[in-house]
Amino acid sequence: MIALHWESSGTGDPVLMIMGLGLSGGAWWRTVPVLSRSLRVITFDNRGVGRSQARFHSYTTEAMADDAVSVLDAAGVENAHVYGFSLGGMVAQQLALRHPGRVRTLVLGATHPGGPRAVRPSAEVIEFFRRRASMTARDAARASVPFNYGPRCRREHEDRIAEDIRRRLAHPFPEQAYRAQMIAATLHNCYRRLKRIEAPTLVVHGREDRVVPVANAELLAGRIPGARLRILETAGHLYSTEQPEVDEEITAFFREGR
Amino acid sequence: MNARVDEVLEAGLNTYEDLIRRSCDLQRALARSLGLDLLNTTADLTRDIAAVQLSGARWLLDA
Repeated sequence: MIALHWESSGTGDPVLMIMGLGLSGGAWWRTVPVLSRSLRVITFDNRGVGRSQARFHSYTTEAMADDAVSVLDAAGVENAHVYGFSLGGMVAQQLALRHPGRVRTLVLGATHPGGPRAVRPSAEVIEFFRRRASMTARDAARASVPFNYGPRCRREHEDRIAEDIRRRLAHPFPEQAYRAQMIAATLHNCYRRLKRIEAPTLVVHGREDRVVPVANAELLAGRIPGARLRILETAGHLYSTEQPEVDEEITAFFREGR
Repeated sequence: MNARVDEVLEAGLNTYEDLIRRSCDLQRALARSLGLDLLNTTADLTRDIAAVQLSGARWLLDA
């Protein structure tokens, strides 16, 4: 039994937002106000995270993509623009492949295609994410900062990082769900099938991303027919904290792809 | 790997994936019409086990 919490704000063409590892739909708090000025924005908590529930903590990105479709069904939306971030970007790839009729346009943020061609982060980053599963939510949020944000953001926008952490801690998640999402991300493998994605696609990535190296964005954009690539110089993994203006570009991409 | 062999293997995996999709759809349709929620669970299991198999097989093809 899966029970998914979802929310909708704004009016206009629908956009489905799919969040990344261990984060609830509330983690889109910077982006939703921008997109919802001209679009209907649908956010949800992935299974086992935030206010969503899962009986079994056994996930794949395929299953999470099917969850996303059930959110569209519940919202009465036949097809939507889709914006997936990090693990959510992997789910968005599966959504575009498994349910192509439900995806109008696709934005893949800070994500990778999976499989042996995907570029892995450094051993230090991998080790951190392993340790993170057993940390308290507060410790994990603070210890993640050097990995999630670029050096400039850490230097110039401490206030924004503090606000991100405060919001993130409002919806802590069970360790089992975190581990299950890690497994889903590890098993994810769309590399070979990316050429079958038909939706107009924008790939967005921070140049300083340590969690998902930027070379993955180049792989994605190179494999998806007609995909555009937007690299944000100086931004890290959570690029919208450092460069919130990118949300305006993403809105424009969705609006031109109507 | 020989490109032709690679193509044939990929086509085989795609066919297997389609069969799994159809099997899951059938199980869900039966779950709805018979009111048997257990079939939704088996459909989820079928999908997830196949997802792991396909991920592994495609990994080997790309390695």
